[in-house]
Amino acid sequence: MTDPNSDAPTNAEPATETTTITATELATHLVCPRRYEFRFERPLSAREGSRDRVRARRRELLRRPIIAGLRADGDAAADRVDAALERFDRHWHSSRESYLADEQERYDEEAVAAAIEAYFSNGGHDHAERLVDADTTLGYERDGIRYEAAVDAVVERDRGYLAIRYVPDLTGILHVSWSDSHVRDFLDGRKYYPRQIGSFVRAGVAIRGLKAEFGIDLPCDFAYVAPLAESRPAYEFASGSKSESESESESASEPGVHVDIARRHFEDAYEEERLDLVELIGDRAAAIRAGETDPRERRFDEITATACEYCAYRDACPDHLAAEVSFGDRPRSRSQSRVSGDADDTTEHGQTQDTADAPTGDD
Amino acid sequence: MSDDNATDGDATAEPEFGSRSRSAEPNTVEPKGNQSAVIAATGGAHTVEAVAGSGKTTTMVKRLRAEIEDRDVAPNRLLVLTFANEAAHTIQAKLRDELGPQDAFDIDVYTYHSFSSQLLTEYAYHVGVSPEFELVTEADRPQLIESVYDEIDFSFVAPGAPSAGGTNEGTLSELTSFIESMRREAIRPAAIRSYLPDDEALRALLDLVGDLKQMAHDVINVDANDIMWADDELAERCDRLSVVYRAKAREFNGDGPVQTAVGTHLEAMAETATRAADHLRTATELEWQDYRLPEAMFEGETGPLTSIAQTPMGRLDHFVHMLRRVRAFVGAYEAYLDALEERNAFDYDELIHRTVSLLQDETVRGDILAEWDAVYCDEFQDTDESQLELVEELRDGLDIMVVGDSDQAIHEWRGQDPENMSNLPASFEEIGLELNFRSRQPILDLATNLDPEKDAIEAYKEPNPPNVFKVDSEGERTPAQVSTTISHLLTGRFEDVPDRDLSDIAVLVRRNQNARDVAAQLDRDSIPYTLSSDAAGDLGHGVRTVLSYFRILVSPDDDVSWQRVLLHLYRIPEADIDTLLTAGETVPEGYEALTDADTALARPDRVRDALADYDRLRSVSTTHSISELYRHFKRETRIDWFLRESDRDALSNVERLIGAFNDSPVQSGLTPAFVDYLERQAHLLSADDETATSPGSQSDDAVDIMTVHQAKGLDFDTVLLPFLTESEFGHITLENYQRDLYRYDVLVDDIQGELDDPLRADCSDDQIAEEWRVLHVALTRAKERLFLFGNDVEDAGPGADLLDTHLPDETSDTPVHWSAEGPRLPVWDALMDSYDDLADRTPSAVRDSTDAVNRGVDEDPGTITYYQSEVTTERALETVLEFADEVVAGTLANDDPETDAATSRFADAPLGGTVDAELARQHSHTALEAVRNCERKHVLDHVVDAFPDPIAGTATESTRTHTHTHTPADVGSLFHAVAELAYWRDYDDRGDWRTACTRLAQSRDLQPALEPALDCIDRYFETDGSRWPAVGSEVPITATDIPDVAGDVTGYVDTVRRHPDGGLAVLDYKTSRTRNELEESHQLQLYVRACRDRFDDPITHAGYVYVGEAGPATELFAVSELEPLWTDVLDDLQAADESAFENATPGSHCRFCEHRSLGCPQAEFSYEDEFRVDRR
Repeated sequence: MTDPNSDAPTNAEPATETTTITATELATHLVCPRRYEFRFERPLSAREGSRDRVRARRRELLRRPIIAGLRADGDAAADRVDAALERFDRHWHSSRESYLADEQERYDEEAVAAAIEAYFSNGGHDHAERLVDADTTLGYERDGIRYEAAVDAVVERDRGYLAIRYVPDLTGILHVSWSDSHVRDFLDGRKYYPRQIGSFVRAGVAIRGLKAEFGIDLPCDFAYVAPLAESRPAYEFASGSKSESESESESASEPGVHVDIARRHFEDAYEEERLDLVELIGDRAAAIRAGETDPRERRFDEITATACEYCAYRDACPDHLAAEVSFGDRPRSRSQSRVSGDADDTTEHGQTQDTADAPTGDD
Repeated sequence: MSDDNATDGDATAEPEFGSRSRSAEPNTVEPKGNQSAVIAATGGAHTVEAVAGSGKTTTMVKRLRAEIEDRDVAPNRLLVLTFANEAAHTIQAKLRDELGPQDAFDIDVYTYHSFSSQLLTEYAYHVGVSPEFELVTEADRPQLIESVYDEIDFSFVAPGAPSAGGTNEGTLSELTSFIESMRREAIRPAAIRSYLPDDEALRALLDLVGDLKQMAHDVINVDANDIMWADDELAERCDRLSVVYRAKAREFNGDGPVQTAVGTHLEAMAETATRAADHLRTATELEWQDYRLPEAMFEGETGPLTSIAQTPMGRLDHFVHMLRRVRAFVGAYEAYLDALEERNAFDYDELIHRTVSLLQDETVRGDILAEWDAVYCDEFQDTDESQLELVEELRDGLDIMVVGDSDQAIHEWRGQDPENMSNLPASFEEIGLELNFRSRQPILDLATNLDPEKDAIEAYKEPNPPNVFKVDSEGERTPAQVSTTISHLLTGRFEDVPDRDLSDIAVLVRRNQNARDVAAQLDRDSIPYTLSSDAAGDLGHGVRTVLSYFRILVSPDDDVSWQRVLLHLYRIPEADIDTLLTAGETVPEGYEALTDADTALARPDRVRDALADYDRLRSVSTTHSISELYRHFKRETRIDWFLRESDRDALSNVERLIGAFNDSPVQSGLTPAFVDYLERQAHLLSADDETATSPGSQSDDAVDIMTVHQAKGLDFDTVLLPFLTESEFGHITLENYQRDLYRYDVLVDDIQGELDDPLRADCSDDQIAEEWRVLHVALTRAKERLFLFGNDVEDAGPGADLLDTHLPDETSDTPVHWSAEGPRLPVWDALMDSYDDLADRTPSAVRDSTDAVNRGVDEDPGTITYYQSEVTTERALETVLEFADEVVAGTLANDDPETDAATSRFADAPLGGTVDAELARQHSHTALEAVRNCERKHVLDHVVDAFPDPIAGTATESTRTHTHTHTPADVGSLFHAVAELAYWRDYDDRGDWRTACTRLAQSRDLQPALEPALDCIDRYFETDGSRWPAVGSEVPITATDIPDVAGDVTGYVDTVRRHPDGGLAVLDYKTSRTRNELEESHQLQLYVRACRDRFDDPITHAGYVYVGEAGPATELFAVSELEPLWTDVLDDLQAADESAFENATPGSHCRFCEHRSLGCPQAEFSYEDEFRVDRR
């Protein structure tokens, strides 16, 4: 269990016989091979203020304090929350984002703090008590390749283990539904949700890693936990009335901001689609090893239609530039637009709805 | 685009001068139909309700003329107001043609905004503002709105994560749309404040809505509670909801209008729940919909009940959240107005309001109104509320005539009020213009039949069937059907329809997405098209490169931006960028660190240039203002040369932003925040209203694709209207209907007291009426032929009818007036009813072209023969496109020459070597002059049409604009243009010529050449030639069969005149200083030869009319005198057949050569610094 922050191939030295390929690399390559190249092979720094960076910062703002809380000395629940909030306070002030309005900054700070607290009062203490490891890397070997996935926490359950990754919200995370052929549909070109499939790949690598570590027969699970899945001003506090809902995800928070936690588990989906997932991972790993970074050899039309708009490297991308001066099938990326009327829709919470391929910036 | 298409109803207007393609109708078209009534009408107030294509603007202009000429009104006593600049320009142009420039100039033609601005400037001290008050334009507004962003009350709207620059894009654009709608509708913050419940009540409402939705989920959601099919259980639960609603309703009794509306709505919901419960208990055969309906109604989850557009809970939820946003934004709106006041600035809306107040002020009102006798308002259907107020003030003091067509009011979403036309007071005498000069009768009938209330429009043109074609079409197939229809039209494959040209055809659509789909298909089928600017498109590549450049100036460590600039602007290979980034942290550091750049880099020269430019600009950026930096940037990088036309348009947005920023009190340098701002706003501007609604382009050599809004005011020979289905055509209104309703429409109506109830009132009529008007505009764009593509209304899906039966009806105390399905727009059904009706009455007018088109869609495109081998058309197209891509990528020569004989032959051609094929040559007088000077120049300019040196071109242009000088060529072209116009317009005295010259100089931006051109005119009238009757002007000539000469000869003869001796004389105007010798007169030889058989009478003379400093004189040669020179001409022609690039002859002509960068010119004319003549 090494290098916690990123599962970038820092340890992929030729000293070892095996190549290491990380879940982040696989997920990036799935979205666009060129993006993989810019991110891992000849790194270009993503632009300041890009959505990826903003999101990555929010993930750090959540996961570092939560990990500090999980590891806190003392068994008292209050100690954990204190440790987490103290860590949050330090991190907040050392990684400032630019805000146009003070009020907006205050809200944001409150929202993240509320989300951290809400996590602990919604299962976080339980996780702390049964914590096996935090901020770690899970991995396994297959066909001469070591696959790794960074996870934020590993906890023991009544039977088996659960690995957790904290994300700000569930944007870009596969919606595990009744369907049991997400990966197959992707492989066969029926559906195209590369980022969501990437989130599944990460879950798969982590679950397989847990099994490698603790025993192949143990039930192992992986969950994305999104403490800040939704936030809005807390209208309730003034009138004093309190929601009577008993929904698990609902939680009261300090006055001012109301947050909802969301989580998504992958154990069942993994069991259902394991074989397809193995095929997909093997295929992409081979592509990465062979240095295949030309998006034109993948589903280029779909890449340009979904991934480019949100890509932090788009402005530097020769393929994107070339599309301008090519003939024939020029990409026309925006899905649709209104002739009249006003700006694009936002939800109540001022966030754009999860579109086909908004950035995750999770890594 | 020629003027005669610029606005509606110009069918009777004369063609723009100089357009040879149209017939030169005389200037005296008699008024037709009711036009005379409009022109002759007397009395104080008239409204002219004009149908599409009835020539309303033309008629108005003729009336103005009648006022001046017949009724002796002084031109400066007439005021004309119109909606947009575009329309004002059109009227001015028409007035000039009709009245001459002097009178036209004296008539006051304004837009509402420019009129207000003028008045307020004049009366500034009276109003208490500075006459230099600032006008906040659409481009300035975003900056102002950003400055009030921090006044948003973030306890009512979640600010979201900040994006670059610190705002949240979603929140910012919400705020912008809120402020803009409030300004448009003239709703003041105080009115909003008094409408809103207090904060505590509002929080309680928000809380209530959240709780009620949650409760509904917990109680009646059939999946969550596992009660699908449990009739009694579900009924009982509905009763429980009813009890809760009723209890909550009592809490809101009489607290204020909003609370009362909510309370009453809750009563209605209680009744709905009771009815639903009863239904579940009593109905016999329940379907699955019956069980899903409660969650749709009370949770707002319509799920599979797809026909439901609005629900009781949905309306309540959206209403309350609208109040929340309004509450969050109203403070920022106040701050916006405060900022305007503080800066002594007006936005467009304020401008109008202030003018209205000024006009209401009794102390000055009389003075102002005394300036005019009458006011004319064109395009009146486009006015909004505040403009109407303005007009009403004017009406009290002046005679008034308003002209418009309420059927063409399609900008209601922009605040325009279609009722303005019909709601004018009864004192207005109405005159109708019902005769349409544009379209054939069946097209008009099709449009008017749609609405039984609508009167028929009468076509002026004779019948010429068939005119209306229908094609049954399903969504995915539509673009292919459109493309096939176009190709049938172009090749004349429709029965009864003659071949059409590309310029005859337009495809009009409702949404940009439809336009893109059609364009993609035409692309695939290689049909040329013009896509009018796409309002919601992404930023162009060129603009993003510009922004990237700004980024590296403020953050040198931005690798992404560096890579873009180096790749796109300097064409530096990626490998070099890698090398640089490996050598140092940033690109500049990497370059510093490279010890031997020449060997390490593939293109060291380019990298050196790039970094030299960068260093210069960076030092400029530290000391200069942004606009100065931008000027330097444009000069150093020559960015213009890398942009496409659409990019240049977008770049002008960036320039507007930079310009707007310069007006702000603090002039700052370039900062990261400013680059963020530019990027954000450039995106917003690229999607602004102006691009969405400004007229589309009408191209001569391509099919035009545009939205109906862009087509307003234009007309086309043949119009294709695809996607006439409810879901496509009605998309904008029908999709998210409930949410859009509460995008402030309801707020505005309720504040203005025009709504019975914000929750229970039916608001669908207005929106849907506008969609029908859009359809009307679309149909009436067609002159000769109209193709309709569509299909039946889709099956609406279950649910809506059932929901309606549960809603309280008129017998209830709390009736709900809307229907769950919301508005419907059965466009195709309506069109087909109208079509069938037409088919019954005039069968010859209509055609069902479905089969003809579908046969074409599936047709094999066939094969072509290429160097004796047969290839499929598809493969051939692909090959050409591949080559083109390789040319762009610079890899065309990489092909292995052995692989494929045909391919390699093709591939090698552009790179030199020997090819047998020669470009066909065309000879002209100027080409022959060129070949005498220098063969290379001849090849470049007249054979391959090479582009000129970039810098030389730029320099000439900038010299011209900066120093206001003119070139001899400018004088020449101005004089020739005047002479041509004079021919067509029968101008025969000096005054007419001079007037025309002044006007043309203005319109062609040749002001500096005006004086010398006027001198030429004076001299012209002293020549003999000017007195000989003209039989032709700018006569195009071609001679194709000259023995021993391969190329054709083409050109234009300035004028052909009747010589006093009886024959014809071919004359050439010379504006030059010197005279030509007979020996040099090859030109005349060519002309004589080419004109030999063109005219009925023989050509007897040829010569020059000197109107420049060499004149005035007419120098004439007899044809017999010229003939011996033919051998010389033949020599030149043969030389022009054979000229070769290799043969460069330096000489004094190099001075004006545009290819000096090739290194061949005479020493004194070569560039000092390669490629650069001028680096001030």
